[in-house]
Amino acid sequence: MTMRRFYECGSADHLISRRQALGTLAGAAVGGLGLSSLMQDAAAAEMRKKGKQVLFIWLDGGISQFESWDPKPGSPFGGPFRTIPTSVPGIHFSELVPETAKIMHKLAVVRSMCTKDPNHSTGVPRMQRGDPANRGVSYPYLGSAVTKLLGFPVNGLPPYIWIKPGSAGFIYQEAGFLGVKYGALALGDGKPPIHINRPESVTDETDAARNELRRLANARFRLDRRDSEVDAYEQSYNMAMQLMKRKELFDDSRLPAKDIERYGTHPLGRHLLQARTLLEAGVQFVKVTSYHWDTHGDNFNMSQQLIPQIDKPFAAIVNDLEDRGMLDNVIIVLMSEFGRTPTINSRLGRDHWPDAWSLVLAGAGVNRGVVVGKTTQDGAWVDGEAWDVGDLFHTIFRALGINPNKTHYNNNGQPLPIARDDCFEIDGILA
Amino acid sequence: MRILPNPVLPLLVAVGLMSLVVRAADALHVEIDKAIAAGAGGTLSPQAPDAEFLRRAFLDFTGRIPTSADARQFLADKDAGKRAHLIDQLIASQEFPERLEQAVTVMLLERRSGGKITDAKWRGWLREQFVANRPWNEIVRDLLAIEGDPTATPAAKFILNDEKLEPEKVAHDVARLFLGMNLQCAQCHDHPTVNGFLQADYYGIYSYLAQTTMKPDKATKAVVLSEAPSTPQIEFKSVFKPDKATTAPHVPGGNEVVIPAFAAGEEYEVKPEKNGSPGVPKFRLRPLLARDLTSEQNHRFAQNSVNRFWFLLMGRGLVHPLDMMHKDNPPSHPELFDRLANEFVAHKFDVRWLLREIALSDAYQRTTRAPEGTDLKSVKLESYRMANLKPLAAEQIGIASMVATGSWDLLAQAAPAEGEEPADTTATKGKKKKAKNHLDLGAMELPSTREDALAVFVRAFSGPVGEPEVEFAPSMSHSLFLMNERMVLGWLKPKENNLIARLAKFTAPAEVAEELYLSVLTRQPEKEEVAEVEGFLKKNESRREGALGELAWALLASAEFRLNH
Repeated sequence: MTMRRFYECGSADHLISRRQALGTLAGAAVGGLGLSSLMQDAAAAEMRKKGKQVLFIWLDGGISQFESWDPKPGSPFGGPFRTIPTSVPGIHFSELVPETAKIMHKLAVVRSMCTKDPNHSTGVPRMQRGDPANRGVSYPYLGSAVTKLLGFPVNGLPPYIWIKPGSAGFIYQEAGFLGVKYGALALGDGKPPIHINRPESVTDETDAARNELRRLANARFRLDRRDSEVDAYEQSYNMAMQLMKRKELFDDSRLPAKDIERYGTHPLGRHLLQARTLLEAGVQFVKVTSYHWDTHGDNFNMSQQLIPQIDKPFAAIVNDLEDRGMLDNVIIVLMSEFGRTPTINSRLGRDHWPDAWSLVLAGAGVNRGVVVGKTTQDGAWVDGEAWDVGDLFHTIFRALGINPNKTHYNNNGQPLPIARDDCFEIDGILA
Repeated sequence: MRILPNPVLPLLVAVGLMSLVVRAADALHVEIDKAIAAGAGGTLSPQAPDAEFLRRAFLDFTGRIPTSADARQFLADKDAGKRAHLIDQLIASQEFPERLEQAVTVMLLERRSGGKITDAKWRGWLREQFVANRPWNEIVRDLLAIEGDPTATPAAKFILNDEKLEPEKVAHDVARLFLGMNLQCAQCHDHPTVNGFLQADYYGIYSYLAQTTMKPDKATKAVVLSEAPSTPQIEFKSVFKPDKATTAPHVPGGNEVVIPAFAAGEEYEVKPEKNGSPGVPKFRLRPLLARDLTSEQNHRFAQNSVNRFWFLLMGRGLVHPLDMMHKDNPPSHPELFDRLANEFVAHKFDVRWLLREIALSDAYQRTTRAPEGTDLKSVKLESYRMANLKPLAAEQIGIASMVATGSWDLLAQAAPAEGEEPADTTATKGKKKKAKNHLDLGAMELPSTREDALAVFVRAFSGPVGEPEVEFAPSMSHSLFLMNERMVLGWLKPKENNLIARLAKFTAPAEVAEELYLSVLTRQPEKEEVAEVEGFLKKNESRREGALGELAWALLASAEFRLNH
């Protein structure tokens, strides 16, 4: 009897699920209607002042660590590419990432990731949720978690924007039990949400006037009535109007040709450039997803095509954020679901390998120019202490000034850890 | 309701049966109010003004708001019994079964759409059930007891997901939607925190369905719902326990089904044939789920049913969340809850009767404003001391917007004539495609029929697929839609006899304000609101039509419009 679809207990609606947490959309923000999962408000308020932001770059599938951050030249599995020195003496990258090699002194690389799940289907949610222990609820993805933990930014912009190829929409599923409003606003191919453009028949003045009338009507309606519904409705307009004011965030034509060239005209390049714009505007969490990092066949030719697509724009955005004085406030995470196998299969491909792989961090609170952990000579296994994605979540939260051992979600009275309580901050990453 | 003088009464009093008789004679809505008053723990809000009641009743019983003419007529009516009369009138209207169909479709399908059984076929079927006022348990029975080619039976849309049948999903849906039990956890283990949501309950329901698969009948070329002969027990294992457990088919709290044994070769009524039927066993479990689930003896089914219809009108279940009906989450009014369930059974699961009784209660007709002199925060939602705010469903927003702006009458009606087969796949697909083109691709042509316009609203305002629509969940995309959708803004320009054209004919601001407020918000404007209209029009004298459109837009976009209050 197969029941994969419904088997995983934590994957779907549960006791105190997102569905019941929908109440928080109306309630939590304003009046405590229904159940709420508020963290300590004071802590959130404090963090907001610090203005921390996150850039989360997700290479869907797995970038080959051998052809990027952890080359093993001369080993049986090393592949044909050479290594090159980076800007930090003694640290070498694959020759496929020359631009990132130049900024190694701004990065922290973890070469000792060891996660467990080689399957795509459960891999993405599991990883982006920080591999939570099964607590009978659907855990939020990182972007939703950070939105909850840092609170909605005062600038009124959508707190969590996801730039991805393909379709757009409001991806409430990522919020899990936190409730719909912590979901991701997804921009398909970087395009703005539909209806962001006001028809020409409505001028600035008339738009302001009609909305003022609307607010006055709401103010009258709320007298002696429960506030939460009215507040939630007002909030949806405020966010819409904030975004309408910032249409330039979606306007490629405003970007300097030089930047477009530096980032690359492929989707990942354009989307990272747009991420820069969004971060500059103050969006709190930006996720950029790139698909098809899955070189089961022809790994070396494919890597030669793919890897420069992250190398160039990644180096560019780290440099740009630094130039703009933002790198101390933005934590950047560049990762995949897993690494790729040391062994090369019969189709010259590398398969999924969660046992030993690498990821890159930079920015807020992150040490510069460090490599954490190492793999065995052939690159097959972690040599020494290994880190899991739960550890990564501890590290990211701490970089944002949140202590995962002291902060819990409060889900209808049930305290839930924000990161696995059997995991720890990765040693050597945080300053 | 007063008890009429009854010559037998003194005699009964004499034998001490007075209380029994009064109980039996009191209509359900009287009982509702007694229970709410007894559990209120504070003052109750007064009855809603006529206008508030009128809008609420129209939205709840027809899915639309009243026109300004409807409103004027009702407000002018001096008859003391006009509210009860209105409820009866609305229940008798053609729109009532449509509204029930919409609400129940959202509840049962949770915005699931597509497949060979088109939305139109399903909706046509369900509407017919409510037109005929079929007992609720019979409707539910029909959803599950289907045999043969399911695509020939619109009711099969409930158990089919596209053309697939997933027994696990159906078991979960049955538990949630018909028994108030969210057994998601219980598929793998007894619920960790809810006593009484057991893994055996899940498998008890699942066992009725586990033998059912979709199989081709090679003779008729149809893919049919086919059952394999039943095994007496089903094995399951908790992820927390080392040992396997077993159960036979049963609804939670009900008896296990005894599965008869047949001699080998004797199991089938119609034997499976290599090039023909996949076979029909003599003993089939799925029809028995339909029977056991909806049986009068299954108290939980009746309880869940009344809870969901109560929720529909009262904005909150007596047990809430709706699918968390268990001992540690008791009903807010336990005796009332039982009474509702028992009477629903006694009235043969008569939905029309149940909704009418609830609507006749003071509790339903109370205002959404807080009782005077009370701290709002101290008034619990489950006390029903004031009426709860209910979000409009996507369909209600769409229809109400068309009625308010007068577009309802201007847009062509594309529905098939009476007796005609409802629109088939291509038509439904066409409608959806038009909505998608319009919204996502910015197609220049605006929807020209009510149905197409409604499809645009449904696409913009529906909740996520697979999620119940229970709470108010406004999103940025809804607000962007109302602010910038060309179709809606187009409705706010004068045309024939639409709202703006009517308003433009009035010169006195008080007349403009009255027609505006009655048309959009179903009430007379307050003095302050008349002054606001007057001031705004004066300020925008040179562009009066535009200004009228903005005044109307503000009301359409207001919380008062978006909520059923």
